[in-house]
Amino acid sequence: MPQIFHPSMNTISRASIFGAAFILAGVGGFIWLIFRSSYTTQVGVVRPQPVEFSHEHHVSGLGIDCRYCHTSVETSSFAGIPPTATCMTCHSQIWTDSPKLEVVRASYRTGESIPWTRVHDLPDFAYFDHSIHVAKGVGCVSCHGRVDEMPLMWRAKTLHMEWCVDCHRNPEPHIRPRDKVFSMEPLPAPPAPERDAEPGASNVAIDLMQAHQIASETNCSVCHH
Amino acid sequence: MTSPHGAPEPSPLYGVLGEFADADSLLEAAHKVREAGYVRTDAYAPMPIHGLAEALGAKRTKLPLLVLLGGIIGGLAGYGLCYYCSVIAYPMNIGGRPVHSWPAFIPVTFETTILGAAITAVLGMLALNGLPMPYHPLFNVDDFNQASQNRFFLCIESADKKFDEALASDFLRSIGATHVTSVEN
Repeated sequence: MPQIFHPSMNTISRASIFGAAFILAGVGGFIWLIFRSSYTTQVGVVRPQPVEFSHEHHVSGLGIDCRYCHTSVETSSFAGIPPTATCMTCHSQIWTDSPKLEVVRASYRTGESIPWTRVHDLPDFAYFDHSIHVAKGVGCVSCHGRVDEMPLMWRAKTLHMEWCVDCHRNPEPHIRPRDKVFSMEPLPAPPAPERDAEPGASNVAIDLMQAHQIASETNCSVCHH
Repeated sequence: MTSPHGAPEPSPLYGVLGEFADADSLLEAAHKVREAGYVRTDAYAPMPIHGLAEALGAKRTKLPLLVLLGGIIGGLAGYGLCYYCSVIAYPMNIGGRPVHSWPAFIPVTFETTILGAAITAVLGMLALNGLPMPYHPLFNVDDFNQASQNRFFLCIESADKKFDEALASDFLRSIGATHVTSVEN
């Protein structure tokens, strides 16, 4: 019986063994990319809302403080989506015939709530608490991004647990003075730590950490109870 | 001459192949071929024949060293993974154990050592002996498919400095080959 295989099969068979490593690496990398793409994390993805509410207009344009609408953010675990009544405090007087606001007026007439689409939706086994983060000096912008520049709401961060834990391990870069929590301005770049800084030299971030009594909490019960 | 597939070949001959009656005569012939000064030789038998590799002057394989290295790397990787996860990346109080509770890392280290060694053993064996080799000039010989059934072959390759087709054929016959074939490349 003569040869079964062509001489080129020698090269092909060895290259395929060698290539298997690249194929495995490629598949792994592709899966990694999918899990971090905005397709799964929804970062930067604008979701349709029943009313085209623009944070950009209401925050940047009109200068409304975050707490005017999201009233419970400082006291409750849930920051709250404002009820129709909050919209109607102004919109009962202005743009009363705008077709864009018909859903709001209908909601006010009928008592049916506006079916907002939640953009930042954690799984219900993670118990996030807004009030403690606000109290410890974590600004809105750190997690929700530049909401004042968002015509429609999108997710600025992945909300991966990895992302939560990153800050819980090392909160310093994200802590701001309490009176700047509701400011959308980015934190001033921290001064580069000098190698031989004098002992006791002031470090803004560390001072804030001490003032706010921030502990690095990464055990399971912090979020998952 | 060209191979059946018409591929251009640098040397017309791969070598001469002698067929031997049984394992004992093959082993004896291997000793004689070696004594005659042939270096580029190889024997083909259906099963491992004790002493054949030594008779043909095969060097000690480097595979055990590779397997040792693979095992060490696997073990270090396993222990390193445990250490990184539980001490550096996410130290947690689980059951009150110290974060670097090394006895609990040992089973993982043991298994990754074996994994690393076993993978190195298989891939290293393939890399060292040049397998897989689906095409080989010897497969052109009609009876060679019996080499994995019940025939015993000894080949003197043309790459040998002493190689001469006629002389090598005669030599193989003189040491008891029942059938000698010149193998095209």
